[in-house]
Amino acid sequence: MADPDVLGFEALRLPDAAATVEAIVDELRRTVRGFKRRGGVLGLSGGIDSTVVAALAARAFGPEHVLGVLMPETDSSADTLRLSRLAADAFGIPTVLEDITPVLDAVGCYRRRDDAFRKVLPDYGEGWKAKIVLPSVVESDAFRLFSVVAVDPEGAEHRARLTAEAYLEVVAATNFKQRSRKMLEYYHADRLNYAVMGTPNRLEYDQGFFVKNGDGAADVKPIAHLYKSQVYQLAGALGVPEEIRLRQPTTDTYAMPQSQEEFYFSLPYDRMDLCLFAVDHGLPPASVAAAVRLDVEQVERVFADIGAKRRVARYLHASPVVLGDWSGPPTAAG
Amino acid sequence: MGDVESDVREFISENFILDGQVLAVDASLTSHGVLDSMGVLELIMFIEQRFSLKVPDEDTLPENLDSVERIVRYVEQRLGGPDG
Repeated sequence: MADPDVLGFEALRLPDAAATVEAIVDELRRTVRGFKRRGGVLGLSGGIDSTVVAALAARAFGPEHVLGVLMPETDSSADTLRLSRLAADAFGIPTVLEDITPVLDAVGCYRRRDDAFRKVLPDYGEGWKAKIVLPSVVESDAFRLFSVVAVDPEGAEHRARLTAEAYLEVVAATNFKQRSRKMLEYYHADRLNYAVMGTPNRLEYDQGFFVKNGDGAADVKPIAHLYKSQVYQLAGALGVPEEIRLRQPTTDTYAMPQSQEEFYFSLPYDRMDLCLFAVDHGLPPASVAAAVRLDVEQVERVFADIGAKRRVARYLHASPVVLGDWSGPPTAAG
Repeated sequence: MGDVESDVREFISENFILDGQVLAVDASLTSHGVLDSMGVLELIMFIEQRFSLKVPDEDTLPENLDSVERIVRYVEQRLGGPDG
């Protein structure tokens, strides 16, 4: 008989994915009606999360009341646009193409980022490609420090640890990407009297894997309560194209291909989901060690990293704080 | 060299908000919420600039950086002893 204190991946299985779809669709429709908006806008990336939200919105409002905004830029992967269109076509959603490269150029996104890279890689320049990476949390208990990995035009790889200043400047500059996209989503939402739908899953939302006032901004977040593994289950129930379901999750933020584990999470999403589930349910590291194929000490480090990211995410989740004795707008009676 | 401990204490109190908290020399800076991932980068930069040291990746361990006492011990070891 299975030990009830030992978790396997079945802990993440939704009892009835089709029923979950219907419940979200109903709540999404009621929420957007409550805002007096007539439909939904979302940015399509060709990834699993935005495709599932698009499919849910198409069911909630009818596909003609959903707009998918395609917002590639010069560093986007070659697949992004094609898979975004595949997602929209699968659910009959109209799209609009907004190449954000000129916006990012005008605001100095690339120049500011490259200036920051040059603080640790002085030769970085035209024709180079780069990404920032974190060491694995499971291999050592060392503090995780960001490095830049770059490839020069001759194909040689260079690596350097980022200073605090360079790291902050790289992140601040690349955050223009998520914030420019959100600006355009709200432009189309205002134009059409639609609401903006956010696409984070629970792992991303809980752990602060979003840009404040960038991809973190939205009027409604239909899948932020679902572990990523559960988003994949919804994808199956909704008929998301297989090519999108099989795509490796990516940040699609830097010119070099970058997995989400390299940049943020400790483990691939399914193992990360199970660790987060255990933390959410107050279960000890030993309960998931076998399933995530780590020893207990390694899982302890993953749990500690989850806690550390939650502390950083508090600021990202915080609404503007109104000081003084403001207690809200006057009521109709007041 | 000067007093490593007073330099480290001054850096921590000037750069991280302690809300009047006085930390014991052996108190964990991460457990007390003083040092986060950004703070570690800033601390390393401080050590490298103030003491003219290079802190290699393999030294960025809690046992070297996660309390005032540990930072002082690490810096003094790297400088060749308490008297520098």
